Amino acid sequence: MSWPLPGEPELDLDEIQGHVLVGFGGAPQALGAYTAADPAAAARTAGRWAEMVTPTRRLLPRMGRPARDVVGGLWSSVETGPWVALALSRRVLEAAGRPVEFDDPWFAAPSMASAGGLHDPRPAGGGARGSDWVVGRPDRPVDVLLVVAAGTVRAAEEVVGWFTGQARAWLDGEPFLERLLPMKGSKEHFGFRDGISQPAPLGLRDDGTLFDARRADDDGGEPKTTNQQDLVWPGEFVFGYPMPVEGDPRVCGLEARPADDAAAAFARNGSILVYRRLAQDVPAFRAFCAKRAAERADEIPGLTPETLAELVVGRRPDGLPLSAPPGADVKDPVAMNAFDFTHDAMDQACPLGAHIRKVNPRAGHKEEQLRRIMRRGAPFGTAYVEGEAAPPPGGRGLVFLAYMTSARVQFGRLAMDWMNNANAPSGRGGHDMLVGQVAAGASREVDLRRDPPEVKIAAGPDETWVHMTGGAFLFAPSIGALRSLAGIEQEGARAMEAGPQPEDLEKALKQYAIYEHPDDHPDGYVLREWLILPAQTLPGDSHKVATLEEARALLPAGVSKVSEGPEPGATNLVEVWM
Amino acid sequence: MVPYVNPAAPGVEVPHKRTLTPVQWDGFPEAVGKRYRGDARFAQAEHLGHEDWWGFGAPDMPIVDVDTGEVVDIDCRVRDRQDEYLEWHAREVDGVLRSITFVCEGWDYFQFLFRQGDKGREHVAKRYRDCTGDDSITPEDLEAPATLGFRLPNGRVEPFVRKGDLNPRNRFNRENGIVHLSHRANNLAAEVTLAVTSALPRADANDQLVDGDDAKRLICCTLAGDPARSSDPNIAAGAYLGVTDPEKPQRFTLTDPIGLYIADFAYGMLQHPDGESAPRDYWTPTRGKDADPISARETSRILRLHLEVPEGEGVLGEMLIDGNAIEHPAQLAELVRMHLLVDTWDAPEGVVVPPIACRGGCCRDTRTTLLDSYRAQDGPRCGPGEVDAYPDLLKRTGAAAPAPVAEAPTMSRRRP
Repeated sequence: MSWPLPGEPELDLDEIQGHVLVGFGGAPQALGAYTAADPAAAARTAGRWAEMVTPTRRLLPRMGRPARDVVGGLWSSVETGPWVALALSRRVLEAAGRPVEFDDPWFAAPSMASAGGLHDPRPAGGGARGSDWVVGRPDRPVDVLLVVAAGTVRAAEEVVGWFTGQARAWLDGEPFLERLLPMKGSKEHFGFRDGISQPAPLGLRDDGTLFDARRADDDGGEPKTTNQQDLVWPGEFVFGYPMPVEGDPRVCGLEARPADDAAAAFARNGSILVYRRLAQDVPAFRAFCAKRAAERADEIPGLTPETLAELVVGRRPDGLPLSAPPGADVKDPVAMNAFDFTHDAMDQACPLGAHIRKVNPRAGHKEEQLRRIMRRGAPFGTAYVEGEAAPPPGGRGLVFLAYMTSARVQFGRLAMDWMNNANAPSGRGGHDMLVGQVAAGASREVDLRRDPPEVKIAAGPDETWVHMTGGAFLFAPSIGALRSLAGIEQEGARAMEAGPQPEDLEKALKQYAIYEHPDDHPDGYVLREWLILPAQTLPGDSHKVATLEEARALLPAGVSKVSEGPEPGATNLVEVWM
Repeated sequence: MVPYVNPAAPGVEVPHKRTLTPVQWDGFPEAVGKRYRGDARFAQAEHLGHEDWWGFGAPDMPIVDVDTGEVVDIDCRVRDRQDEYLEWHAREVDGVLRSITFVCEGWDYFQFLFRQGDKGREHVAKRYRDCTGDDSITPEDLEAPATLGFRLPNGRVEPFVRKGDLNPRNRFNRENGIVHLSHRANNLAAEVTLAVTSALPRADANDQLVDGDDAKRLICCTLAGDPARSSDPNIAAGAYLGVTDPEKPQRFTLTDPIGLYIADFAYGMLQHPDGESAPRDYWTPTRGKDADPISARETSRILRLHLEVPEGEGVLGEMLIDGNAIEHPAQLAELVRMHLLVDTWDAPEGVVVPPIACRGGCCRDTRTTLLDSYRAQDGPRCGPGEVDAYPDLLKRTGAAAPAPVAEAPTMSRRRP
C-alpha cells in the first residue's frame, strides 16, 4: 500500500487560514478581541483585512521548523511574519447578510456563557454566568478575534495595534488585548509540556505531494506522521472536506458541511473556532497535590506532590507518558506519542481520569469515536515564581484556541461529556481533575488506582485551579469568504496578481530587525527592513554594519523598539523596531 | 465456561462483585443524525411507521389477521426511528410545547406483565391510565384483537403479536402519552442477547483476537445488535473488553434489576429566555431511581423522566437550549444520556475461553457511512454505493465457518 489514501482531497492552501492547518507554533503572539458597536461595519473592515490574514501556503515553509525562528525572519527562504488569524462572530456575519446556519448550536448561541453544559461557574458574588469574564461577557461578546504572531510579543502587539486603529470606527469600548508568551519547553503554567498529541490533517498540496510528512511506508495501519501524530481526515477541522468514518481512520467519509447549501458554500475552507481564556491558579494546584499526597502516601507508596500532579495530568512534566520506560528520550516521537492504554486496562500506569486519557483515550474502549480538534492555544501571563507576592496583572493561564467543524459535537463531547463526566468515556474513572468542571457545589473525584486496592481522591467545590475568564464561539472564514465581506473578491485577486503598487509600499507597516552575526554577514550586524503589506511581507532595504550602534543609527526617525533584546530561541535576532 | 453468567442459575456463586456502568450513549438516535444533516434530524427522529421492522424508508405495510388473512383496520405505527432504548412523547397546547416525557422500559416487560392473568392485565392498564391521563383505558383496549402481522408486497405475512397479548404498537402508547418503548429493537431480550453474545472472544479471518477498541467492527463480527445504533455497539464493546482483557479476565452479569436506564440529563443546558439556567428539578424522574448524576452515576436508574416548567415560571416551548430556541421537542432528547449496569468479578484462575469465529460482517453505505450487517453464511451482499466495511473479519475461502453458538436474533435493518 502507498500514500495517499483513496479519497484524500487537495487542500486549498490559498483559502484555508494558516492558523488552522499549520498554526503559529511557539511563536510570540498577541491577541485582540473586539466588540462591535456596528457589526456590519466590522464585517466590512474584516473583509478589507482579508489579504492580511495568513493563508496556509505562507506557513508551509515553517512546517517542521521552530516557529519563533521562522517568524522572526531568520530563514531567508521563509516569508516572514507577522502571521495573522482572524475569526468573526455569528452576529457579524449575519449583519453582513451571510448564511450562518452551520448546524452548530454553540456557534448559534448568543454567548459562550449560554453553553450551560460546560458548567462554567457563576460569579462568586452572584450574577449571570459570564458577567465577571474579562473577555466575551454576554453583554460584550467577542465579534472579531485576531491572533498575531511575530518575532517578539511586542512586535505582535504592534501589529494588533495597527488593526485596532482601523477598527476604531465601529468599536464598542476598548478592545481586549493579550500577550501570549511562549514558555520554555512548550510548557503550560502547571509545569507540563503541552500540545504533544496534536493531530495532523490528511490531504494533498496542489502539487500533488502529501500535506504532512508521514511514514515512508504505508503499513495499512492507522495513518501517522513521522512524528507519530494521528493523521485525521480534514473535515474534522475545515468545512468542505471529508470527515472520518467511524471505526476506520483510513476510509474517506462524508464531506463536513452544513445542511443548508448557501451556508455550506460560505463555510467552505472555514472553521469553527473555540476560544476560552482559562486562568490557572498554580499555588492552588500545588497545594492540592501536596495535601492529598500527604494524606494518601500510605496507600500509594512513593506518592509525592509531583507524582500526584503527574497522575492528574497523565504525563510527566517533560511530556513523556507515565508508561514510558526509564531512559526514554523526550526527543523521540515514538516514546512521546506512540503509546496507547491497551495494556493498562487496570489503570496501573495512567488513571482513566487523567487529563490525557480523558481527552484522548487512544486504543481501548470509548463511548464513540474520538472527534479530534486542532488546538492552537498559548499561555498568557508570566511563569509562576515560588513565593511570589502576587500573580501578574491579568493573571496567568492558557488561552485555549481550537479549530473544528462543530463546537457542540467535537469540543462539547470532550469538555461537557467527557472531562466534566466521571463515567465517560470509559464507563468509570472519575473526573478530569485538571480542567474538568462540575455543577456548582459539587465535588470532583478521580480513581488514582483501581486495582488493588482502589484509591480515589476528591476535590471539594472550593478546590479549583482552572477558572474560566472569558471566551467565544467564532468562525474563521476562508480568505475568499473574508474578502467577500468587503465586496472585493475580484479587486483582491487582481491586486494579488498585479503585485504591490508604489502607493501600497508607502502605506506598508514597516518593521526593522537587527541581526547579530547572520549567515550573510557573520562578522557584524545586519539591519533589515520588512514591508508588511496585504497578502505578503516584502524585504526592504538591508544594511550590513560592524556594530549594533551603527545599525541603530540607520533606523528612521519615529520608530520604537518593540523587543527587549535577544529572546531565548531567536538565536541572532537582537532587536525589532516598528 | 462462558464469561457471561446467569447468577440465578443453580450452583452459581458470585464472589465479591463490582457494579459498573461500562458504557453510556446518547439518547438521540445516531442513525437519524447520520442520515439527516442539520435541524432536519429533529423532525425525522419523530417519524411514526413500520421502519423498525422493514428498514429505513420502508412504506407502512398492511396489517392483517394472520389466521384469516384479512386486513385489519388498526394503526400500528410506532416511533420507529427512536432506537437507542429511549423514546419520548411531547405535549403541546395551542402549538406550544408544554412538557416532554422520556421512557426507557422495554415493551417486552409490559407484555410479560400482561400475560400474568387478570391482575397483570389490569396492572398494565392502570399504568396506561396513569401515564396518559385517560381513565377509560381497559386491558381490552391494549390487547391484540387477533394475531396480527404485516403483509409484505410478495404476499408473505410476518406476525408481530399474538392474539390476546399486549399489543406494544397500540395507539395509547403513541397518541396521548407514552408508557413504554415501542420500537421493535427496544426490548430487554435484545440487551441480554447483546451481553451474552458480546462476551465471547472472537477471532478474525487471520485468527487474530478481534479487539474491542472498535465497537462497530466488533458488533459486525458478533451480529449481536444493530451496528447503525449508538447503543448496541457500545454495550457490546463494553462487555467484550472486560472479558477479553488477557491480564485480568472477568466474569460479568447484568446488574439486577436488568434494564437500560437514563443515566443523566444535561439540565444545565436548558435555560430561561434570559439565559439563566433552569434548575434541575424541572426534570422529574417519575419512575425508577434518580441519583446525583455527579457523584454516584452508577446508582442512577431512571426509567421515566418528565420535563415541564412549573406554573408561573414559564413555558417549556419558550425555553432555550444553550441559547437556542426549542423549535422541536426532539432537541431535548440530545440532552439525555443512557447507560446500563453490570456486575463484574475476577474470572477463576486458569479458565481460558478460546476465541470463536465471527458470525458476520458489515456493508458501509458510502453516502451516509451507516453500517448494515450480513451473516457469514450469506457472504458480503453489499449493494450499490456500499462497500464491505471490514473484509478481514471473515475467512473467504469457501463457506465461512459457522460460529459455534446458538443463532441469536439480529437487528439488521436490511429488508427481507
